[in-house]
Amino acid sequence: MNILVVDDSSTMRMIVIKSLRQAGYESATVIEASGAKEALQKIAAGGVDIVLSDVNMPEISGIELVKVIRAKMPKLPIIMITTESSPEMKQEMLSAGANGIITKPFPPEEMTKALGPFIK
Amino acid sequence: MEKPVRIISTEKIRSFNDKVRNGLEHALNFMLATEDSKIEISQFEPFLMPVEAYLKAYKKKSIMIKIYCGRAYVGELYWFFELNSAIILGSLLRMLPISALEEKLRDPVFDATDQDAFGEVGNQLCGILDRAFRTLTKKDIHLKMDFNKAVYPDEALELKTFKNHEEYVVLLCDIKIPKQPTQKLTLLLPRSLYEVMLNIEISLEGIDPKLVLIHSQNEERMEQIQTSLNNRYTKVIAVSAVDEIITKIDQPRIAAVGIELPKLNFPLSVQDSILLKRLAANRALSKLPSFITWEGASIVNIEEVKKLGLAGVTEGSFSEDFARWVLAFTKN
Repeated sequence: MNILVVDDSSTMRMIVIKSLRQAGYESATVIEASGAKEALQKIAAGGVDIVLSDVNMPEISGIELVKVIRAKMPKLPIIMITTESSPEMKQEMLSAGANGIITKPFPPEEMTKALGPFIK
Repeated sequence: MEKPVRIISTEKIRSFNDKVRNGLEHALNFMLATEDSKIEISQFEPFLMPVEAYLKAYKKKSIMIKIYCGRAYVGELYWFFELNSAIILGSLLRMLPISALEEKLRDPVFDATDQDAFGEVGNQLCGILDRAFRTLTKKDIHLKMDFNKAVYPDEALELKTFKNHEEYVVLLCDIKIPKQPTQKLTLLLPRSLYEVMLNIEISLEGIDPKLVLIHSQNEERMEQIQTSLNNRYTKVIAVSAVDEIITKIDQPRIAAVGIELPKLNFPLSVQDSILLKRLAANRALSKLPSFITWEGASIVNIEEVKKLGLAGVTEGSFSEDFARWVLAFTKN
């Protein structure tokens, strides 16, 4: 299984990867992207099974990224990892096509809960 | 420059500050601490001060996080972390070994890795603050971080950086990170935001502000006057109808009244005459300093209105002269 982690912060990518390991996804292959453009390139290259993306990123936001992915790949699971917790923002993410939301800071169990339905 | 003044703590202020403090402490420990170490944040000491006073007072190298506030209240708040705190918190998030952290602190430079890691700490704390403010105040307030990675005062911080032109509530506290010296953490919030969030008017030690009652049908003008007059010495009470002036004028501490009447036509209509006579007959209004005008007021028709017994009538402009008049009056 290939998990794409999208975040402009290398620290946050490291934390997400650590949480994936702690949540039991040791065997997953993690691909990193520091922004939406890089993420789209890596998705286009093929093989991405799940996307974990930040929301507030420079240039192209996580929500815009979801919309672009959704237009091409309606079934690719996308989980947003964000500090945004207002009902309006959550609704915006889900309306854009996100499958789930993890609010930061989060324990590894949140990762299991969010990814579980998409991992066979 | 006004000096810092302590905000008189009330149960509501204490409770709000404690909940915010607890939320931040909990989040920091959840994010960063290991089982045998706990980060502690002391109780907030709330002060009111102009931002110039704060900038003049802080000497230690610090990192500022700017937080945009949107939706129900538009403005900005600012968070200052001492440089070492910022480096330590970022390093804890990156799980840097203690030896590497100690090495880093010997010659603290806020390098790109520190900026990235502390930016993420700030982002998550901002998220906690956003949740805390929204939950505690039940208001639709949305906070978003803007972190510009500068070290102050090495890189000068200008007054124009601070968006809200008013005094700031400064919440000062200590942050105790295990095995590190205690450092300061400061949150600066525009006074109006703090008051909106708590739904209170803060009181200051040793200062009893004078209340200024105003009315105009021009909402923009009322807002302008409130912005220029709301400070530690004066507080504006804006009412939307002339009748409300009469009902509110009897409350204690009203020091002055400003009324911009709807445009008067001369000779006066019966309706306008009745209104002016009612105002003239109000004993409280006649005893207080007042500034009563209308658009297009001239010396000739002012005399006509004065004949009805109304004091304080002036050809001065409500938008341009009233605030100056109040400031001159309240200084005396």
